Amino acid sequence: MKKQILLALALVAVGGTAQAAGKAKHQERTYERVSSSRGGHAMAGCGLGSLAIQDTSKWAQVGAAFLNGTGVQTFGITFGTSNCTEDGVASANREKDAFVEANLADIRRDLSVGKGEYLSSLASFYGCKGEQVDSFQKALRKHQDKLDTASPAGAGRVIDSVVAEEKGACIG
Amino acid sequence: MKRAVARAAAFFVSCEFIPIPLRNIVILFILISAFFFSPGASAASSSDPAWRALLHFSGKSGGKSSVAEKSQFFLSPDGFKDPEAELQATLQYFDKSPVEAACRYPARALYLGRVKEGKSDWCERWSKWRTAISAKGAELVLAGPFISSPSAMYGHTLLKFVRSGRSEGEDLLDYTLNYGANTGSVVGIPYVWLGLTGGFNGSYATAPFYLKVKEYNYVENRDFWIYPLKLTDAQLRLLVAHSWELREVEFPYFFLHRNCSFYLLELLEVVRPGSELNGHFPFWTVPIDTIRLLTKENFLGTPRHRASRYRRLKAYREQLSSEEKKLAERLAESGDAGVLPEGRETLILDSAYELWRYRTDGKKESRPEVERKLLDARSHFFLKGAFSPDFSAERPPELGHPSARLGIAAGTNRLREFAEISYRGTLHDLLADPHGYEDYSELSMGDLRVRVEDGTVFLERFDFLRLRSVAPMERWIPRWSWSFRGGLARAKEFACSGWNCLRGGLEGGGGLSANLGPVLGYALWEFEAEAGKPFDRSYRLSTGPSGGIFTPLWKGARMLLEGEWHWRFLGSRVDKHNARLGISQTFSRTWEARLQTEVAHGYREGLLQLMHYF
Repeated sequence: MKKQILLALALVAVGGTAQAAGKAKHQERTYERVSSSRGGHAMAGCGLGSLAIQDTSKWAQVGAAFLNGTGVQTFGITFGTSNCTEDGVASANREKDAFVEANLADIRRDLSVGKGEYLSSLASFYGCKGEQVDSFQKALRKHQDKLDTASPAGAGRVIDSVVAEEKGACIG
Repeated sequence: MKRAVARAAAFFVSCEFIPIPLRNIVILFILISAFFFSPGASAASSSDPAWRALLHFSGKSGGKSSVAEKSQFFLSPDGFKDPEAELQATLQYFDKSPVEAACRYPARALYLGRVKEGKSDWCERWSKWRTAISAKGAELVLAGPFISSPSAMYGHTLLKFVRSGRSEGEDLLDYTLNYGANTGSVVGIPYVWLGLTGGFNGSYATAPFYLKVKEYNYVENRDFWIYPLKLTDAQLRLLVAHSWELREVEFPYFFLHRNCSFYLLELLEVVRPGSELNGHFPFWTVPIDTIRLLTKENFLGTPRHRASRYRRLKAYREQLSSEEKKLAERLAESGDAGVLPEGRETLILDSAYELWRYRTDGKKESRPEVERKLLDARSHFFLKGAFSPDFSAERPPELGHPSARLGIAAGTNRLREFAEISYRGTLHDLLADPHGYEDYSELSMGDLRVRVEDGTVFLERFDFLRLRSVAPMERWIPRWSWSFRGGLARAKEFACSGWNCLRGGLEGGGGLSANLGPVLGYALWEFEAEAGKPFDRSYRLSTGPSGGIFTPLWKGARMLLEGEWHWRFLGSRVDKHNARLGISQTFSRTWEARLQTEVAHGYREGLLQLMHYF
């Protein structure tokens, strides 16, 4: 009798686990480097992309959410092993590229609104501060079509060329 | 060095053939020269808390070995268990290669007073890293709860270096130091199991704050609370230097104890040695509790809040009429919604953008054409006065109730009176004051209740783990409700008491919740497997609905009425139905009273509880 009970309980437990593991395999939570698969700009960029997550199954979410409570390495690893970084920090001359690659959506958003912390952070790479951020964003808006079509990995260079064309962009 | 000096001095003390005045002069000379010729080394001692903290010998027990994994972090093969051996190996390394040693172990160099820079690969890397960090201060970041994920109520903490030269409030370019488990591609149940049992190692990783914003604020929808750390310049210098030393060091990860917050306290122990911060958490380290401790120990300043996408979306939605909500929804789906009501364009477009981001951040499908249309439309209202959510009234989570709880209760089950003593390890349940925790979420671990009835002492219930998420399903924020419970409990439906009435079981299910005015209603379908003496066939497998209504009453009071109706389909012939009513009243952050009644078949009981959080 006792064996039957144990068997029944074991079946319930194992059934749940197997189902969970099976689903999790297909839809595991991974942070992807999307940029390298989009548009072939992998070498130009830092390899950060938009750091997207795949959709997760409910089971995998339960598991992931359980441990995420007290810390799991995610973006830290991606960042530490990208083309623009060493020891977890961006090399001085690639820091802007890494920032643009990871935050292009937010930069575009700030440009359409006219202000925002992503825009002012980007402006700071070109030495623009305070009111200069306005002229910086005006310069970028003039060339918005170029930014719209740029990939995250290539957007850093596009912004560089716009700034060069506008002769520094902060002078306004 | 200290040992060598002591030995030399002892040798001369024992040299009786040398006249005493001459002997004293020689000994004095040795001691003075030791002081002058090995700068700083005289202060070093393997029993010094500062040295032990640098090696991560943790906790009140004095730590017989380091919490770090045996690795290249230790210069001596015995360094992970012998601070003296590590001290000697470190001194030898600094004697042999002073420049390389000082750049590889800059915190040890500070401790030993042997800071040195020069040409070396290590110095180049250390210099680049330190320049990128450019710390003028440090902050502690707490990631708060997470919808539909009760475990995230534990919180997550990481360290952020405030970059010099940046403006106030513009911290995206700051760097963070985050301890986390390296879980690779393990997911699901094995992931939880390995996480709980120390199956993963973790490490500290440096990454820009903008990635943490993305990860926590946008993808996981968790608010940040950012606390300035009160550090002197010397402490900050040591913190940065030691953070560099830890870059490739592995530390075992345990979800409950040796987690992000445990290892963050390890770092703070280095800057204030002897604080024994981790000694306060012998069994589990709840991140939000570490914030409470650090506030009490005067480590933290007043925090500031950084809202998650979810919080922002809610704030925007509250501004919209039901017609405007529909327009925003159409915009978020297709990017088109025709003509928008005059004067409300920016609000509707911004709400639509927040909704689009909420739905696409961290998802594979992003629909860039919708983004393009939304941003183009928004550009037409460029710089027009936009609604900006105000979160200044948010109260920091450490002001919520502490996580452990002790309770006493008196009650009756019609036949007899009884007394109950209860203890719950962590963290929060539905009837407790929700401030600082996620609404409609429950996570109880180690919930123990012992009763005394008729002179007999017995276990009433022990929930190893109870999780429940009954957040309401909303059109913009869809989510399922679910529950899980595992542990021992008295089978009240058999109207028995004492140890013989105990059953073990696992129970779980899923369903939906909805808000009906201030009242939340939820309905789940559950499965349950139980085994124990009270059942006529020793076990029971059952399934059926459970549901409840939850509502705030007056100030500080909440009510939860819940019931289950489970039909047995294997084992015992008795079905399970019961209903419970609980009313709680919060008096303060740490005191609460509850009135609970329960009906299970013919069994009825009522009890009054007094609870203390600590």
